[in-house]
Amino acid sequence: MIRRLLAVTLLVAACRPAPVREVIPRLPGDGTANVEAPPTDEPPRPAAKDPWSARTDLIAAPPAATPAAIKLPPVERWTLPNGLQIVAIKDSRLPTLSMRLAIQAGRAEEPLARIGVAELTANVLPKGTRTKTALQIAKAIDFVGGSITADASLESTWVTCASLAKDAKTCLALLPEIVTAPRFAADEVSKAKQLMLTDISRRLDDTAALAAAHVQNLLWGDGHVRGWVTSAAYVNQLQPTDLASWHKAWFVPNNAVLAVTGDFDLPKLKADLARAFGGWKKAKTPPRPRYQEPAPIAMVRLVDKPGLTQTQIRVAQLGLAHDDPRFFASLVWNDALGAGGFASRLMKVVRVAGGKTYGASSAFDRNAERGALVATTFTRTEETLATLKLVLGEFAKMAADGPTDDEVAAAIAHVAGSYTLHMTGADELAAALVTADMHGLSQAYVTDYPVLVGKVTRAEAAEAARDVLTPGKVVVVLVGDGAKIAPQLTAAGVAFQRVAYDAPIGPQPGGDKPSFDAAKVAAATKVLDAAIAAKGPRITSIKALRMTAAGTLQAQGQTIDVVFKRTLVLPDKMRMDINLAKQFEVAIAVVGDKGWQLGPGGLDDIPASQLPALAQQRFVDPELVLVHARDKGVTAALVGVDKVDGDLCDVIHVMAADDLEVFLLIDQKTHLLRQTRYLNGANETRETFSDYRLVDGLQVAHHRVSTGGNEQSDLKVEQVEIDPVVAADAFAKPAP
Amino acid sequence: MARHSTRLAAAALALLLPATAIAQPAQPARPPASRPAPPVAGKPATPPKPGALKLPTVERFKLENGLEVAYMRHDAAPVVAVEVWYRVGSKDEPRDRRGSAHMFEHMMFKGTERVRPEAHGEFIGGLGGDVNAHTTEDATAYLQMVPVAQLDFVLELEAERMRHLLFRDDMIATEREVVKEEIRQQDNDPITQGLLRFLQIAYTAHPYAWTAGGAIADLDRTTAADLKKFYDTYYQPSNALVVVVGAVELAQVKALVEQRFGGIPGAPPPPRPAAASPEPAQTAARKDTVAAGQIGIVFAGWKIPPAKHDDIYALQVLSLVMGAGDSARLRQRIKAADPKTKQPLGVEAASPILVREDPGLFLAIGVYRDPAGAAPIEAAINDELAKLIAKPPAADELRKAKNQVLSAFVFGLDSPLGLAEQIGQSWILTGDPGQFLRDVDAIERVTAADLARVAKTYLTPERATVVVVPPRSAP
Repeated sequence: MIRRLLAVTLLVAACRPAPVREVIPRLPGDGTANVEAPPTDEPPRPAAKDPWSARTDLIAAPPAATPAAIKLPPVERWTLPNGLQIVAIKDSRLPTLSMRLAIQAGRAEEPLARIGVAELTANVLPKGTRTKTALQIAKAIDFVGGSITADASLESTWVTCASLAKDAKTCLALLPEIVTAPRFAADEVSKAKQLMLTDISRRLDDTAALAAAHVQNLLWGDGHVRGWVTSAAYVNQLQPTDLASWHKAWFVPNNAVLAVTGDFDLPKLKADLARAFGGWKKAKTPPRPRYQEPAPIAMVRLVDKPGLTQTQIRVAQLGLAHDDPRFFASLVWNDALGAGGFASRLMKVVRVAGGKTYGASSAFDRNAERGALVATTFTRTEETLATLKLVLGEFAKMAADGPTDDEVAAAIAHVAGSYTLHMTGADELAAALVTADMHGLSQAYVTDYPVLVGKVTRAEAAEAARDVLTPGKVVVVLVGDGAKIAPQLTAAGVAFQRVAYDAPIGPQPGGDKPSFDAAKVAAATKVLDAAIAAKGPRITSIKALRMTAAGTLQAQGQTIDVVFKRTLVLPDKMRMDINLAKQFEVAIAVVGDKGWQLGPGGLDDIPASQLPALAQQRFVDPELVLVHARDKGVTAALVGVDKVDGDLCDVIHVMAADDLEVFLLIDQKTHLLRQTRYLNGANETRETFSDYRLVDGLQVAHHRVSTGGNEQSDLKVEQVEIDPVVAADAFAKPAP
Repeated sequence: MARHSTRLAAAALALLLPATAIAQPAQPARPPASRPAPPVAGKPATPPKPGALKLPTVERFKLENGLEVAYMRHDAAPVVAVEVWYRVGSKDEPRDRRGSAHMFEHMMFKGTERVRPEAHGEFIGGLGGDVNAHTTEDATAYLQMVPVAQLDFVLELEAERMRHLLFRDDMIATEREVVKEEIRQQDNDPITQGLLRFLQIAYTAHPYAWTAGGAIADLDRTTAADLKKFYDTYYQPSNALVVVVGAVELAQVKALVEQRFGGIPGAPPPPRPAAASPEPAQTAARKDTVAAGQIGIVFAGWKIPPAKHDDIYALQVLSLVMGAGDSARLRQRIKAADPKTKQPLGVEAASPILVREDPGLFLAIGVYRDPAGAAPIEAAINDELAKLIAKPPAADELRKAKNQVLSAFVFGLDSPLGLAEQIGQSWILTGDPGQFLRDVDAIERVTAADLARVAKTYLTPERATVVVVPPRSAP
């Protein structure tokens, strides 16, 4: 937000920066008698004798309060017939009223092609409705000294209107109209785009913002919504119709919560809200996109901006979902690590002892879905590597030993105490209750928070730290002067990727394929090598394969028997002979980019529209897909970890030309392929493989279950032939 | 500015951008900035009564050693905000020790005779409390918010560091590096550099030419002896205000403050070097362009009278008419399509007012992307001011600005820490910690003719300073 930027820049500049010395005006008679030569670069002097050790009159910390549950004021909750949930907390101390409407959709729901649509929609919401222009809205709210704001975050969009209580009618008139009937006029969309583009440009001058964008992209990758970064190219593409579609899909009452706080009369408020929001129509929201979690990998990205005197440092790994059972224990160890201000290890080691930075901290995202754990600090260029090592060292120590007894006590006092101290106003309580609702947590989560923090033991905190932290497998982003930082990294043997500060971050429009990091590609090669060794090395040299299986197929509510024979001849021939319900015979063959099928309906060429699906079938054959993944022109990257039947598997994203794309889940212990996932039309298909048996030196899964769309098949393999004799005319189209 | 940057930003916003914060009532749950203003001579304090609002009062008393104390009762939660304000900022620094007031602020956390380094901050954190500090051109303030039972403990800590700080060379050497990293955060930011250049040419004599951040070269020169001298000169009870806002009784506050601070001896008034360097009246426009940034910014500014001058009220209302809310004149002008080109002049605008103990600034700022955009924005700013001088605003536009003041004032009564900030700021700027409670009333008396008059008096082209940060390339 540029307005925020302006304010912050002004105040920061007014307080902090170093003017260029020679242009400072000097007063007449301004002496220099007390000017000494600047000190040389001496190493820090050894610590002097502790002047406090001998004292007996030191001021001691008061005993920490025992964490107690938060006492809520009366909380009114009701739901309108259209599904809009309302939370209201009355607070009559001041004659003010605030209404905060949370729509449960944000950046996490944006499609790749529409990055930025959540934020742009929010920004344009107050800029005109069906009955009012932007200026009319602005004049109405400005006249009463109130405010209307709309902001999109990762998981929600908040629209807020606040005013003196006597002017509540202004908010009651404006807020519902802005939310339910925005106009998205072209000129207002254009202005809002310019403002977003300005923010995006500004990021290149704001090293902290640049580091934050890069670290999310590096951690989550181009294939995960959290790794996407709003860019000029995407914002330029957005059209008013995109905003209207986004609004139509998500801005429905059954996908929203309204919090009202301040001085109100409850019966009147209920009547007012019923009238104001009653006409808002309930509707089904689209399915929420889901993404593969990335695998923990060590990667370093150096973002090169020549001339910088200070390096921004970020260290990140996967964090926790809000409802994770390790959440409270992790609040405690992370407070000791980096969230506890001057009591935290990062602050003590990097700032207080090292003098290397002004700030060092670590923080978890607090989202319904699993977010990141990010450590943040910055230092002068020459201390970049040394400071990074300090941060990584603290991650490793915390993972190995957890917090000490004293740290656990201090963390509980800080986290529980701070929560209790700040959770007092109606605004804070309402925001906490709405967030708990959206994260599927109960009201007791908000009230019992201090108590649950207080119950964490040292053993629990240490176990959670060991469990959650992945030292050695973290991503690191350094934004600084590359020419000076790169030699530090190289001398220390740290592998890194180097990108220009103004290079695009993450996926870009037009480039419809995500580009993978070299480290993830290298990691995938290792996993695939191990998978091929486990499968049997001869898989790389076979020429043909035939598999016969029998089982059932469930589709459209029916279950039918199926016998299935598939013959593959490399590089591009496939024939499938299928017997359905012991009655119908179907034969399908594909060679290169042509195909035919013979069935009860006769002989036909396969229509062009269906060929990609068959090419996909040919590509994802579980025996040969491991080989395809290493073909020239095919990219494979380790993008995540997931479980199949409870066993941990590496997730390899494989992409070939012609839109062929598949995820391979390879067992971390046995290195066998356990599952493939790929798109079949709009639906994801998952094929799960088990009952591996050795056939002529190859491990072959003899049980295969496929689910996707409205279909499910369950097949037992009856025969596998390697390099079988294939009839010369097996793939030729029969005579009609 | 020492501690946690987000809270710091909110607090500093209140200090530095009073009018802007009023202009942006976007976060009404947070404290708005104080509206520093002069006492109205000869008039009784008649606070406004927005709705059924019962206005709080500020009680003030003084210890024998000269320490001033301001207290406000605030019962919303069992918490208390405790702040200590010292009347010393970057304008009191020697010219070759720029940044020493701010560096000193860091020292205040680095250990006293009876408190180990950083223990002050850790103690408050362990209570679940907030702790921070900030330094501006005029003042240095230390703030805490804690459970109400800890009032005495915080007063003990503050009394301890008022006169018992330890100066150790190794600590100073390390902390100097910390401060330099704080300053380096802004080193390579073209917008910050533009604003610094703006201050340098707007003030030719007065120390407002530099900011509290100071200069790294000067910090390198600063010795333990310098710091000790600074401490003994300015960190004295007679140069400080203790502010207590919370669910405590006045009698308790009186007793505890007397007990903790009463024994500190008084001291002579400190020197005020800025008094010897008054800023001469500006008679010709000043202009400069600095190195390009990713986005373009025009900083235009005019010096205004000190905080105690009566015209400050009208200038504050004027800043709201120009820049508060989407409907404000300058924001509309910069963001609406130009009749000739059909394109907006820029993407955003603001008109903050920086009210200071000595002559402050009225700013008009435009953000733009078109490489040729600076001149039209500067012309538009001057044109909007000329229009206002030619024809005072209509009644409803004036009413709007006054309503914005009133609303921000009421929302600002919510937070004990925000109120403590307003009280401290009032004391620094006017000498009266309760002055901000009377400001709404004084604002109410501002007329449309006053706006035209102050614009004509202060905001004229020959008194303008303009610095442009051009955008690096076309959008």
